[in-house]
Amino acid sequence: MIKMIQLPAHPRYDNVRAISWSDVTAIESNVEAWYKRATGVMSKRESPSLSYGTFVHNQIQRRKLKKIPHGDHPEEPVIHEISYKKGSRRTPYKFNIVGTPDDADLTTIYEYKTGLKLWSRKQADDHGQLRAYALLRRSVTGVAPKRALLVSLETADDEDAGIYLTGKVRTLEVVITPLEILKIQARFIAAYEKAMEYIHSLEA
Amino acid sequence: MSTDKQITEVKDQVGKMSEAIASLPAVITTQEEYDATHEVGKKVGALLKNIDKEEKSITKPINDSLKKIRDMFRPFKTQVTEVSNDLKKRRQTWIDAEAKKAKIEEERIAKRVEKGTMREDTAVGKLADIETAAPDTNGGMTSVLVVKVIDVKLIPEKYLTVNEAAIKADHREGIEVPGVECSYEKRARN
Repeated sequence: MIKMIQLPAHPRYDNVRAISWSDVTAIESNVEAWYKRATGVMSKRESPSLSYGTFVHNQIQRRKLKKIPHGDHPEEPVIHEISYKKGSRRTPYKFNIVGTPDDADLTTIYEYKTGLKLWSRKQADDHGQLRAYALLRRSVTGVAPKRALLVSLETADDEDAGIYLTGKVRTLEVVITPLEILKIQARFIAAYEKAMEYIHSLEA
Repeated sequence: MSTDKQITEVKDQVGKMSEAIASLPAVITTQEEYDATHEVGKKVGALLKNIDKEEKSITKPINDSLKKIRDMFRPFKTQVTEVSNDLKKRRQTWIDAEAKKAKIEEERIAKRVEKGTMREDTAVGKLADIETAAPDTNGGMTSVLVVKVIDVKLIPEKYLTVNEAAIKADHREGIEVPGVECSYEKRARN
């Protein structure tokens, strides 16, 4: 019997076999470590700052934090099938991507980042996640958001090793072009192929 | 004279200066007090010159040796720096050419998708090939923020610095510089 090579299941998305934006960066950086984490061989990264980030997102979602820009579709998980053609093969290759934009509306992606340092213009401009979420939103609404607002909220550590918001907020507007929507798919494809090649090498 | 002896002498002179200063009023109220303060001020100025002289008697031979050593190494450093810059330039030229090629191809693909002459699944497959074939710079490149002035008139004031040396030079030649006022202020000197 031929065993089918497939992506690991994503527990956060009803065990759908798909890759998320964080999978893309993990695969690009170290495919073996990504696979071990995705299959539970290696524990997933968890830290107080990550948990605090989730807490802040929830506060924003409940509108507890004032003057923070937001959309009207917070935390909606999206699964989208990427289809691509390569070489002489007639039928396209297909795989799923997943993601949960922090918030969105028809024209804008909202992404909230907490951290000890505020995000720079360059970091925001280079952040592929915004394009990935724009692609996911396009699959839902049929319209690709033309911009993203990356809201960077500065945090600090208190004396008891707790984390708090300093009140410094930087909102960076990033323009999303049709070419970038195509290029982010290309990046997902490259990561998918690298992942599948690795999984195949384990099965061989 | 040994360094220790020089330091001891300077220390003594500074001690005497402190005694002289203590006899002066903190706030001048009469011409006599002004003259006395001026006299002590001249001696303090001379003392500072003397300290500089003592310091230089030690640092000058060291600086001369440093200069000699630097002169010996400079030609080699210059030569190696030139080679290093040349190697960087060669890498930079190739990376720039590859990035330019990729950008042209990416834009061509995007235009075809926009026009409807290429399907999106074909386009992303082609872009993935470009992505995979992109040069791996292996950490050998970095991004540097560069500022190129396009129109200085559009730059807000807070980003501009005043060239005081040029203004003073022009003022001395009788040229009026708009937006500034040049005048002479009395400053105490020794």
